[in-house]
Amino acid sequence: MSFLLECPHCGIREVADFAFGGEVCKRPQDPSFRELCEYNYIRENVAGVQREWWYHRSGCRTWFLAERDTRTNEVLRIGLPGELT
Amino acid sequence: MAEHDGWSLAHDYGDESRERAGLLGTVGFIDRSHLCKLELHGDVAELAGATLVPGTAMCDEHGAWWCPLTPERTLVLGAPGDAPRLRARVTEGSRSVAEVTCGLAALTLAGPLAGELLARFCAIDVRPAVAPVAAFRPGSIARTPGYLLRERDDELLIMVGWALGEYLWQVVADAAAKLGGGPAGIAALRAHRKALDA
Amino acid sequence: MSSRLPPQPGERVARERELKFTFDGRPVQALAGDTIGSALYAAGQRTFSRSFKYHRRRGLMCCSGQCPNCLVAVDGEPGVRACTEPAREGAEVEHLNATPNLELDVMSAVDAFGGPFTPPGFYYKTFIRPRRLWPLYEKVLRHAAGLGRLPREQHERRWRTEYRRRHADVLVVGGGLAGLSAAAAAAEAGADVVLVDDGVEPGGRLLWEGGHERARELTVRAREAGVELLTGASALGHFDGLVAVWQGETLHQIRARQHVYATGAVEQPLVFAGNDLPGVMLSGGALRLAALYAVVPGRRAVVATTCDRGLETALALADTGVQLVAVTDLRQERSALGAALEERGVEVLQGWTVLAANGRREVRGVVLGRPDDEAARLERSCDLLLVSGGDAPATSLCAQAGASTVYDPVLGQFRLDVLPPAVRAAGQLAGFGEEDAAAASGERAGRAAASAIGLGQGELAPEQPPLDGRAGVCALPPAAATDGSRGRAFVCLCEDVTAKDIPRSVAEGYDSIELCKRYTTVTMGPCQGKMCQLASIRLMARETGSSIEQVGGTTARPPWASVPLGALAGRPFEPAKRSAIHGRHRELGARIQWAGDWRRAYDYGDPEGEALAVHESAGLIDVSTLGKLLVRGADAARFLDLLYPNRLSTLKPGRIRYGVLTSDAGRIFDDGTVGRLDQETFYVTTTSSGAGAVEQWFSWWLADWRLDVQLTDVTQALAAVNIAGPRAREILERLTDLDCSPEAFGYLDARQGSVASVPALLLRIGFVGELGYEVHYPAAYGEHVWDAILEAGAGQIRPFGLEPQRILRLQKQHILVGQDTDSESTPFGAAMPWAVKLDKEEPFIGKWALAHIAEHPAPTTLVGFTLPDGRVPTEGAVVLDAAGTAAGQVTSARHSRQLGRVIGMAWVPAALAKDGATVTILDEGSRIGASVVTEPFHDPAGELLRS
Repeated sequence: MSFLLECPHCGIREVADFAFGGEVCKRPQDPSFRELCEYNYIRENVAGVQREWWYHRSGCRTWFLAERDTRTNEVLRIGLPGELT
Repeated sequence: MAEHDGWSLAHDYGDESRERAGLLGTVGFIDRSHLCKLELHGDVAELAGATLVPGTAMCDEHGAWWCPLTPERTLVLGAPGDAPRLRARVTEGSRSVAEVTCGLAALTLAGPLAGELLARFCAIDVRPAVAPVAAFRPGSIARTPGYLLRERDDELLIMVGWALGEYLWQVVADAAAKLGGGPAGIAALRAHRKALDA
Repeated sequence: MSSRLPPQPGERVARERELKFTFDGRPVQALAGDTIGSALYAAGQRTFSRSFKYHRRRGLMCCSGQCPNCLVAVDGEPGVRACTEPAREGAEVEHLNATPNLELDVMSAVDAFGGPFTPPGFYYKTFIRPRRLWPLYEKVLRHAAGLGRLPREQHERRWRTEYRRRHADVLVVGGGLAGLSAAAAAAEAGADVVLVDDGVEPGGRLLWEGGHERARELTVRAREAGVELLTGASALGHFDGLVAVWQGETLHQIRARQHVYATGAVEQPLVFAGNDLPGVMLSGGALRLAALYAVVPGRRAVVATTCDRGLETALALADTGVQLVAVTDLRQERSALGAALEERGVEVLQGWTVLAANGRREVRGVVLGRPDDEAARLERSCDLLLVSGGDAPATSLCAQAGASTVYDPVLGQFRLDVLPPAVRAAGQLAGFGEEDAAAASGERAGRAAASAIGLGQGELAPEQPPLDGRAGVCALPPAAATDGSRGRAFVCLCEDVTAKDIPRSVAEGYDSIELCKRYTTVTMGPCQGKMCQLASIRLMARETGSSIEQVGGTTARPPWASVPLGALAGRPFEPAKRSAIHGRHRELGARIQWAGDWRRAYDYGDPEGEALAVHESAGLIDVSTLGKLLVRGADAARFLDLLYPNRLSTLKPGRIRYGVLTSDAGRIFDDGTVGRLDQETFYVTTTSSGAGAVEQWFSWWLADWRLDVQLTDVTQALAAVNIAGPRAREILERLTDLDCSPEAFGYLDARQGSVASVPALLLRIGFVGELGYEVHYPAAYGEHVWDAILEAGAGQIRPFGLEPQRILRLQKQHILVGQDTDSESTPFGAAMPWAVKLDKEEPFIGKWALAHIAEHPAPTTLVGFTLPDGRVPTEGAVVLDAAGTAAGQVTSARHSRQLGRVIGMAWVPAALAKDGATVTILDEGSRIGASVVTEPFHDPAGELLRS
């Protein structure tokens, strides 16, 4: 795996520059036990475009969001939290 | 070794003229960990006297570099002698400033093969057309978090965590040896810069 | 008669410069410019290697570094292709796979007698019983098969290459006519271009097909345009836009915005009985021998071809004086080249092909026939058989880049279909094999690549359809031809797979090409399918009654070219963190070991004595590896209340509190202390190995919650030491202006002051169980402060390492996250319910899970234990429950000199987690009874800490 990813601040870097934070999922408030378990343990794991957290660990140390096609590693959009709608 | 601004620094490695020749002909690397480094939080446009553009550092009238990490965070680099002025300047008001002088080890790669040397351990594109003077690039250096600043046409300043200084030195020294380069003291760098400026 | 031709127009050898190397100890004369293969061939060598399984003789075949036939060892380095390896003065060349020597290989008995015994899968089916004998079988089989032996001792780093990252606008792979044209055109339009070619000089086919002048002109043009030419450089693979290129001492990693592939085509062999005999050569191989090295490929040649390529070679070789005995052209219609040959008096057989090659050591004669007429038979004697089964476009690298391929029934080959964005193909790869068309397609691809990144001007001419696929260009050879004799016909020379092995594989159910590949290992040898993929697909189609399209190809995987594994292992990058005091540990003779990504002093030779010194007087340990975070801002207290399960907003400035970090599932992942420096500033320490993860965790939640908090990781900026022991205070007082009295600076207080004239943050923390001060100060003063403390405490203080610290903390039952806890541990299980404040209103991380866990306790609990006898149980030893089944495990165990007994921590059944209970530890077969102790072993009331 050696695709490129764009950091919102630093620009394009090798994906090895970044840490992967997994699928974006909303933290529930006062969840039932079932909701809590789903939040903690269950992921969509789609074969297609999903929204993910990425962290520019080796650079500016910013967490941001990326929309990536899990089949091709093509990154369609990136943005800071709140920027992607 | 020599004492400068409270720091004990490598003045030369035994042969200043050979070190200068290396900087001119191939590549040399110089320990510059003594640079004053401050991390500022918040908007610095007013302090810096200009709006910083991502990817490009600004050199102020005292030769200090203002390097934008994010719109919220700025790394300021200055000569040790300039440190009191810089510290006083950036602590005006209730600004949040972190002293990271000892957080980052710094090496200057200088000479015509500086970019080639970097390419042995770093994936960042530093072709002059893409990364001209003042280009600032946070990113992985020798597989560890780092920052890169092109200070001059033939000078790349690289910074990694302080505790990784010895490791970086080994990587750079090993790669430089294959390109015919080696370590240079601050005396050689100073003379080299003076000669280029003249 | 000389084995060298008169001077050839494009020859690479310099006749006035001779050199010498040895082959299996015998001296061999060569000319400068020769390859090892060409020099050996000129010296009369015909057998170059013995084959993988049957140990059959193999000779030069492709002369282009693709087939496995000429693999030799050069100066001890195995797996080198003689046909492309430049001859060097003094080189020691040795054969690989034959015992005792190439001429007399005892293992060739496998060929003579092994016929029915060596089908694919033979080992797996035969040598399975009795099972205990497998090691013996394996030893014999490993010796019997293979392509040579690695030297037992590799000199350290001998193979190390340099990584070299190269960014470019355009990367051109393949330096033939099309590639050179593309590179020059792109560079002339202003692009930064790299061209990669595996030859010793660029030019590709031009070099041996009479176009050497043109090749050299184009090379000059490309260089003048600023192209970086990498010769002798093999592109290994295309990985998400990154192309790895091996060039001797350098492993280039090329990242370009645009790619032009001009990798040409690979001439295909034919499958017929005896098709592997020395003297059976690809037509291009013979041509390269003659044109580049002026070596006579043979005296009397038969040519068997399916297309014009073989006829061109025949004409060219006829010009050099090779006698053409017969030429078979499988096509029914005579082409212009065939007519030209006939005019020269050569027998040209239209619609014929070769059925068998005969000879013991090398080719002595051939049997020719017609696939459509079994009665048609002709025999001819010869010492050279040239074959050409058409040109297969070298699509692999393009396919790795994302291109799709399609079978072209007219061409009888798989060709490129749809290309991904930013990837272009040119030259024969794209179907433009004819010289001027190849140049034009290269120019066009180069200009298009430049134009795609906004360089160059002018309209691009519309692309002409390729000519290579027109009707009549070639005939499709039979999947396997035979004259009915018992001679083996090889599909795959690398792995010794015969035409009979494919039907066997199909009969056993491996009837898809991917399964057949794995079962027979066809295409899995050194040529990586270049010579055998198409042939195996044809056979599979014949056997299964499918079309070639239905059978399809196998996935193109890297590496495209053979590469030693060692060449991929470049500079070792092992980022090792060292504290600013590391030099002192070295001088003190510390045992240095890895701890996470740090190099740490484990001990200074006497761990138990060092621990004892902390109890009796004072010890000094370097704890610079602790993670250190500054958390500042108006929302800092609230932020920490959300992250930690206990309350930190109530912490008063100048005070410290222990905190454990959990995930939202309530599992512990780190711990440390939080000190409040002022209303808005907190100083957080983490475990040494968890520092990065905690910083990442904090900044992640900060990004989500967007609070007014600034995080700064000062882990490496600050050195830290812990002075601990009853005399810690008096030693510290000699160095600081701070009031260190218990009243002014109590347990869990944080103070800022100077130590040895260095500004420092001092934390009164008791990890090791004695009065102690952590001193955090700028890393540049690392050794200065360390030295000052040791000097001030001379005679009273002793450095101690990580191992004694582990003994000391175990005496206090202070957990080590990751040692005593695992990914399932919760604060409740780890007996730290006091670290969780479920009544906190904030929806802190882990809140809901911890509330659930509090009501549903886990079956095991972490407790301390002691053992009566002196044996220290293994960390990881099993703890049994009352029924004798495994319930938990020992996580830490040490002998304590201070306590005079063995102590440890273990996860035990919750019912046994009370003082005095006995648990059974099963350690390497023996059962040990241990008594549970829930309070710290040392100073349970904490009076020493507070002193």
